[in-house]
Amino acid sequence: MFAALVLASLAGALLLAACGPPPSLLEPLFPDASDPANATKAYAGSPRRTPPRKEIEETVAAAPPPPARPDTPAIYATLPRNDDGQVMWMQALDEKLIAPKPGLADDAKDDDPIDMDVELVPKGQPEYKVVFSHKVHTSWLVCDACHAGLFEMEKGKTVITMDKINAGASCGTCHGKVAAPEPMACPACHKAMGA
Amino acid sequence: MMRAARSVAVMLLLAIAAGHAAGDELGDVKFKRDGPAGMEIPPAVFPHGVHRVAYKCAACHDGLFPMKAGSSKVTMDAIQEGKSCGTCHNGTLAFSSTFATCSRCHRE
Repeated sequence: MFAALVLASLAGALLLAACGPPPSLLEPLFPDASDPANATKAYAGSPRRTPPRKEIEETVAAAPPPPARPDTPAIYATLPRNDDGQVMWMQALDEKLIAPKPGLADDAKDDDPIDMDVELVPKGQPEYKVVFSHKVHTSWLVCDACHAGLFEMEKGKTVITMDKINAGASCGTCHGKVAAPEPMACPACHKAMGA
Repeated sequence: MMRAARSVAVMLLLAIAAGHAAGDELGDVKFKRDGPAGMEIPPAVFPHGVHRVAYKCAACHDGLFPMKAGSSKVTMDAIQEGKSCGTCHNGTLAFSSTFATCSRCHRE
């Protein structure tokens, strides 16, 4: 019995000696906080909150300012007007007070105005002769705006009367609604009356 | 914000070009709204003159808008989708339609 106890004690002592001191075995799991080397160790696990992403602020700050747009209402207010208070659009265009684009696309190309006057003389009334300027009209419009829906291409085929114009048809489709006679009144179209 | 604006727009602001009613200037087109009566927001006014400063007639006619009065249906929905007036009024080419700019078009 005694011998058995001695053997067991001896075995236990040997085992402890073989394993070495317990602190050295458990040290990685329980670092000694009192050890100054461990106290300065930073926590290396994944952070609970991601730090603020600075690059977002920088992106917003670096966004280019919107391109300057022409203040069209302000420009419009400065355009020359006739005695009726209507804007003189051809004068504005000729004097380059405005530079209207021919299309919505940036690379829209403008066709040269068609320089062709058409004289319209009422029968027996040469004093009411009208001179229609294609050049003026094609400075703003394309051919198919009027041809051939509103006016036939063939000269004399489309009858134009002041009654039609005053009723908002023929030339009155635009003139009186969105376009004024320039410079103003009868002689703007009936050139002979202004002579 | 934009979503709310769009909802309001879809519900209330279906507008139809009503022809060249008398406005402040020659060429001002006052729209007729095809929506519920008694709205406090006035119908939109299209100023031809202000647009002519930047574009010739041919830029919009007849591609984007037929010339004939009343033939263009303009809705806030279409504008928000970049169609109709929204082709240009998108905040890049021209001011966009937001709650801050309502009164630039919807005015007496």
